[in-house]
Amino acid sequence: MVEFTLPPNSVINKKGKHFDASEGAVRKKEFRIYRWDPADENNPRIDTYTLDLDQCGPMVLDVLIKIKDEIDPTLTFRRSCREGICGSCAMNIDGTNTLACTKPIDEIKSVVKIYPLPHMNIVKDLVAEMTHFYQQYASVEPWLKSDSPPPEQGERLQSKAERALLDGLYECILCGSCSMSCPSYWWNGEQYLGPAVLMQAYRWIVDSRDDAAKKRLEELNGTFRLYRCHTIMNCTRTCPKGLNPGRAIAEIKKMLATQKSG
Amino acid sequence: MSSPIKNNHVDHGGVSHWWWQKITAVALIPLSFWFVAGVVSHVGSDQEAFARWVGAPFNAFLIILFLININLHSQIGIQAVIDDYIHGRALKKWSSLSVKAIHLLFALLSVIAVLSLTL
Repeated sequence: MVEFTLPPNSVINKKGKHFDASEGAVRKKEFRIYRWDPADENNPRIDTYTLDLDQCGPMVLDVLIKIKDEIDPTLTFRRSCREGICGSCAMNIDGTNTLACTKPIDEIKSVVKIYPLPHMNIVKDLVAEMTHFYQQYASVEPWLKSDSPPPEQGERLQSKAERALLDGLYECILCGSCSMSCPSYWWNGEQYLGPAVLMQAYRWIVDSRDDAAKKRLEELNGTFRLYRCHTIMNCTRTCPKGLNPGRAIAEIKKMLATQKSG
Repeated sequence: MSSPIKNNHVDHGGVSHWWWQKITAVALIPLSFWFVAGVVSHVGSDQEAFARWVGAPFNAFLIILFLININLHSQIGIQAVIDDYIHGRALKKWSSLSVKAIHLLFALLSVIAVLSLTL
């Protein structure tokens, strides 16, 4: 059954630590950040950091790095490219899953609340356990499967129209913001593939160079793998890259419904 | 590829569930309007007049279609809720079965009721 109550060890202790690094600041900003350490027995807590925005870069990731470097080195988070292309710093900021590196602090009017991606097991602080998500991605076999050998010279060519079908799909960086915003993925994430993985499945289904579309569709056809999508559309609303996984899932459903002999 | 989640719980009920949901939904649009209009137009008339309306062959046919559709649509919808929220294997199986049985019973009883008015 759905769990309506939180397990005891997940209840947040509101009495976190306070760090004030805003002495003499003109533009003060408060950041409340989820903290949990598997090494101690304690429940998670919310730590509060008050910063001087004039001493800090413009993005939420700049704040996290500043805190780790100068205020509290125990704060743990993933980051790499700091320009929205690696997908490492996906987290829940101001109630929405997004990338810390491309989220301007200015966009958040009051206190900035930072949590890990929702409904995931937590490794530490803002680091979510993503193994299952990656396994689901691997399960759709996200690589080219062609019946024909590659041309002896050059590449497998596509027309401009064929290539255009991949626009809005290939840009996905697999940060997981969409899947972890999806209530269906929260309830049935063990079996439901979720928006990110389904959009990548669709990316290969519509690739003109790929010959395995029929097999790929067959693999998706199931009450749980695909059809737990109820077009809630949180995925499309939250995507930090502005992509539309909801549309990709609808296209898969349409293809399955109209293909001959199932 | 030996991913632990490969082919986990694959079933092929997805497409037919999707189709029936759409078909019954579309069919219910005209049928519901027609049925409600029919009922509303009998506000104030006596039981005999209403029974005559229900019992007329064409009306009875459409009402039966409406009843089967609405039961099927409801069963399909509730099945989706069960799939979403009930996770125990046995509990899921039994709740699915009972929901099916209840809808079948409702459909049968109401269809028999309409048929009895046509005689």
